[in-house]
Amino acid sequence: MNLAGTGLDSFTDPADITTLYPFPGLEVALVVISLLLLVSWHFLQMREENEEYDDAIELYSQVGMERAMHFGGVSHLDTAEDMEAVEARVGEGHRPEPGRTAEREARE
Amino acid sequence: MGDELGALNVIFTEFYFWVTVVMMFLIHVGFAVYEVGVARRKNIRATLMKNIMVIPLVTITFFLFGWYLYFALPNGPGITGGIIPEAVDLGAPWSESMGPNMQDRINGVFWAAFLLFSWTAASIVSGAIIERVRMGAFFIFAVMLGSITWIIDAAWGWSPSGWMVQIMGYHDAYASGVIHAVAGGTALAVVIVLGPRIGKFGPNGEVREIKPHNVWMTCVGLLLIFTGFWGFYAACNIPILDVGGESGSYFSATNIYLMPTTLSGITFNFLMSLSGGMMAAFVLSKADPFWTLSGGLAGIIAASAGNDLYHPLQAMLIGAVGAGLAYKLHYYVERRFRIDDAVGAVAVHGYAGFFGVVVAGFMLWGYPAAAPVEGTSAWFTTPDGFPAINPLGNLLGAIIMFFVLGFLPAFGVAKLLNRFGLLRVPRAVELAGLDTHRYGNAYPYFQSSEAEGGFAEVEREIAGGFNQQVAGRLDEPPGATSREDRRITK
Repeated sequence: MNLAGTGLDSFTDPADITTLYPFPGLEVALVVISLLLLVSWHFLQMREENEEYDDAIELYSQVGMERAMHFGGVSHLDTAEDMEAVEARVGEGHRPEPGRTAEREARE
Repeated sequence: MGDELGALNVIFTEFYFWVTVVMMFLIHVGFAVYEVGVARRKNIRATLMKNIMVIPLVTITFFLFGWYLYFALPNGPGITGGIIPEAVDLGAPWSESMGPNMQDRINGVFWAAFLLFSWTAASIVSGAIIERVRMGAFFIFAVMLGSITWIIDAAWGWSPSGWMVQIMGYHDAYASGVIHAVAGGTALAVVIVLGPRIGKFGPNGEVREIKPHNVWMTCVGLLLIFTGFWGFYAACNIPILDVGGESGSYFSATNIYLMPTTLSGITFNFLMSLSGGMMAAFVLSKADPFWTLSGGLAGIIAASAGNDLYHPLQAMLIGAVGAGLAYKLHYYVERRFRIDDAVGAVAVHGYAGFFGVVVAGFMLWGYPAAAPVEGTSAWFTTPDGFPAINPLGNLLGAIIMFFVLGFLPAFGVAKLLNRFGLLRVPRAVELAGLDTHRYGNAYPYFQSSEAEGGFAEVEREIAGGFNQQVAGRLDEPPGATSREDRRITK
């Protein structure tokens, strides 16, 4: 017995077969769901990117642009030196990490 | 599929296009490698991800609405008729032919061939705007160009029944206009609104060179694009079709307009136009590897509109002129208008493509463009009553491709995104590098080069003007301004 809605339980007469995929008749619903997911994806991506830049700017304001641009910007900001700079600026009890600042932690 | 010969023809055609799609994937590989090579070391992975995400985004949107637009809009609508009702059966995402179906063997491979053209169009824009555009903004441009504007121009000018073909006699066999000019126009609009990379132009307007982080990669990327371009050329043909008409059956390959050509002819012309472009660019650029290969690409693009019919030496000469034009215009526009196109995409694709369409109108003046569609009347016709290729039709066609469908929509969307501060990355992020806060060093086992062609020093000086803190302190924002910079400035 075929539960997929196609009635396909044999390929002995291929000339009479049309669609092969399961659950035909749901195509419009699939399209609507896909469009909603697509639009949502764009919104989520943009929101995530905005937060990412907020965090980056906060981090750079703490470590300073000179440090951020160390070696032409190819050095990752996760060294002990950077963390010390962050600590010195924000004081005890507040130690944001690169990509995860206090502001973001509070939001989450 | 009842008889063996008919089945062989159908399955051969299915397989032919399927192979072209595989080959065309190399175009995207080439664009990714090329862009990453041009990007500075601090922007490598952001550049890569921006380009790679074209693949899923354009694929899904091209399935959801792009393919439908191609079948629905050949008449405009409103120029030679309305929206084509049969388009729903062929291209609507809920159509039974948009999936595995024993009664249809062609739709998926045609869809994929056009989809790969869509990726190419989006990738062309991607390169021009590297190192300062927000990913989210680029994704919107990619969908707009890859699944809406280019496929509308294909419906109009790259379909035997398209109104531009039927009325204007527009001819653009291998997409000088329908892909390259429209993508070049889009790229130009975005780079104008986006503005140059920080430090690209000095205080007195002097142009500073921002060197690629890896010239080898840029060249290998371009060579991969050439390889994929073979697949593209093959995909623009119908491999076997009866073109005999009233005189009886005669089987041949055809161009996209179902007019006869040969795979032999386009093979000559592809290679000769590539060679002409490379020869010209080699001399003009004084043997610069990046521009010599870009010139080859511009050469193919310049000759593509008529490469189904040109003599190989004509293709070579047109390719050479197109490459020279692209090279000269790139630097002229950069100096004169302070436009920063990081990879020369506007010149290589936009200007060379525009030129190629215009030239084809003169070179092929009087050739049949396509079989006439009942109820339409062309400006110029052949003795058989077919719409005739002509200079006016192709000139206006080039303008439609570059400005109307390429430049204008992108300019509007770029302005809108900039209004919300969502077009450009914050300046602090741009200066530090798009990879720095997220990915880190792309080459952790190689010693860093502080010099970066001396440009890093310029950037450090600019950053010094940030007044201890970050961002928002530059006197003149270079082009678009991010929402983060606006907030800090306030």
